[in-house]
Amino acid sequence: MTLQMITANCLADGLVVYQAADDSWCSLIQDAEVIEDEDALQARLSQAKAAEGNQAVVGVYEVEVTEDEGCIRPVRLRERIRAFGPTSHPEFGRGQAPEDLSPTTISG
Amino acid sequence: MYTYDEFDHALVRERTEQFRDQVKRRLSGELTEDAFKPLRLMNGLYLQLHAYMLRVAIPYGTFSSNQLRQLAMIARKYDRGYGHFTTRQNIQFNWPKLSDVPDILDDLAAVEMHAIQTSGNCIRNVTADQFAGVIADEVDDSRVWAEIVRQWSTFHPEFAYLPRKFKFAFSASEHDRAAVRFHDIGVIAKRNTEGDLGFQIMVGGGLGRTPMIAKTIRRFLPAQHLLSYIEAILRVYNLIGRRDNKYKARIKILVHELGIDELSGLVEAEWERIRESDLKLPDSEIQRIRDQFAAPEYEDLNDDDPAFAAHRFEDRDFARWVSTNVAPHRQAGYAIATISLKPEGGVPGDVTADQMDVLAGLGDQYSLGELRATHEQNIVLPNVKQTDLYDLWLALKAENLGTANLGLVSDIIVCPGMDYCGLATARSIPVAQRVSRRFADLDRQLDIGEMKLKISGCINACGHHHIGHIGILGVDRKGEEFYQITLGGSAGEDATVGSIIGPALPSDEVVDGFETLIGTYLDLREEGERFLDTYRRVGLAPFKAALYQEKLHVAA
Repeated sequence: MTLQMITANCLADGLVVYQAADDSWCSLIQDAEVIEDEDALQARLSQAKAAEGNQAVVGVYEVEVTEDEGCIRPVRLRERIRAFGPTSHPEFGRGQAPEDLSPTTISG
Repeated sequence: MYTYDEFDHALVRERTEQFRDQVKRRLSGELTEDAFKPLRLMNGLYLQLHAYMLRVAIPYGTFSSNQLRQLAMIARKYDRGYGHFTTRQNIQFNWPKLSDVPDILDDLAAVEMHAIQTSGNCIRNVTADQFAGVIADEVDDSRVWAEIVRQWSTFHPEFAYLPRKFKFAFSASEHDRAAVRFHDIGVIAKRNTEGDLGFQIMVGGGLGRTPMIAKTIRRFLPAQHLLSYIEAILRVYNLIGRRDNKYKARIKILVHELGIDELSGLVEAEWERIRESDLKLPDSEIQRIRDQFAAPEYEDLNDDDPAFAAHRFEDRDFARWVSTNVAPHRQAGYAIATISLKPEGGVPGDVTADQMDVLAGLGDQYSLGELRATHEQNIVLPNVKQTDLYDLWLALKAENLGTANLGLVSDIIVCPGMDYCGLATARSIPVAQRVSRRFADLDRQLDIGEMKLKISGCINACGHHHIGHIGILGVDRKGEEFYQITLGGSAGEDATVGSIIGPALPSDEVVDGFETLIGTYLDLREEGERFLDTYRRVGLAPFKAALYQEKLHVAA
């Protein structure tokens, strides 16, 4: 199986969160749990859905990621933008954004 | 400007209190997300990629300095210090907390604003010509009629669950500044040969995955029948519009499938039944609303103020701003100033809280406290004395709001795209920023002339790409951003849906591609032609050849 993470938005403030290994919800993708097999994914997803029922988060789903020398990065661009913030407003970014999300990478 | 009466105040306050209770019940777990989502959408609250987003209505684009100051306060207190003006005369806040939204709605209600019907399958915020009431060419002030429709449509119980969303736009004159032909209903002010006021009613326009130009359902509707006639249209649509497929649920599909003649027959039959009902507008009621939009007390001035002329002569940059951003006012000695929210490299439509405060102050100082939001994501000061234009421009320049690019290459309409929007398939703002930087030279932009570039990050077309002279649509090709280019669209009275030029370009080629198209136009244009004129004369082929580097074969 490809590597996965579980994500959602925090119910109260709407911000992007990821499920950490200790069941807490963290805002940085580097702090999230990387899930490596299907059984674990299903188990963690059902725990996360339970958190929806506790008004912690909303809209739980899994995100495919890659890990390269400890650097976690979602596969899909949409998820990279969710993880690191709007590229049009880098001042609201979170964590270390990969180079392909930098607005200056592609020259005008 | 319209001022709330006790009914308006009560209505908005009641809705805010209801939503406060709904949020409380959602946070306590009494309401599930499934139960809560339609309720929050009815109050303009979306959950986007990064956070909640609150869409606040600016009915027919008219607002006051006091209201803008309150928006600045909201941006600072509850958001991240900015707001974003949209293509439907709304302002969006991108980072509000759910738990703060009831307080935000209270703060909006305090200045007669709300987020009601800015989402959901209902009649959305009614938009209008941003120059209504002040432009020389107008037939009638469309704010009066847009306000009448706003009152009629707010919480209209029959039309709270339409097959799909429903958008009105009003034009004050034949010259269409409000893209009325791309709305579910477009209303154009007219006078008949006797000089009576009425409206041309158009129906079934729209963008999205099935772009369509509205068709005329009535050439001239006497003004007092406006509500009965549009209620007849809405009733027919509500009953027979498709609900089985959301992509076929807009009224444009009904117009297309039934044909305008058959739809017109159904509407006219319903209208006959209700035209003499309470919906027929008494002159007194029309006058009551019209009084709210009475012209302010203008000073008795002449055009061609000598100081204004001298400043234009002495300051080339000011003269350029006047030539691009200032429109003639119907009152002698006054002008309409459009403030570009498209500085070089900026995010089109974004305004910081500090800029909002400055704009509010300038509105008070120079525009009798009134401002307008345009569907092209700019701000208008509608009542500026010509003699004040120079000081106004200096003040704007100091806040990076003095860009002289209205209607030029960098005056780009752009949706939020994948930087914010949950529906987007590609980013759109960064493309606009790159174009804006590439074409930063205003002399070059002036030489190119009128260019309506419109960029959408998905097929839903919030960035109006179909009706740009050049349109850019972001698409996802196996996880990569690609951009499909359309040529020849127009939002105005010469409404046209653009044609796709060919295969989509990868992100790193799209700005080069755009520049190639502009270069091709400059090579081909004849004296006095805009891009759109040249395109209409020569067609797609030479642009396609240049873009895809094929050889251009001209028939002998």
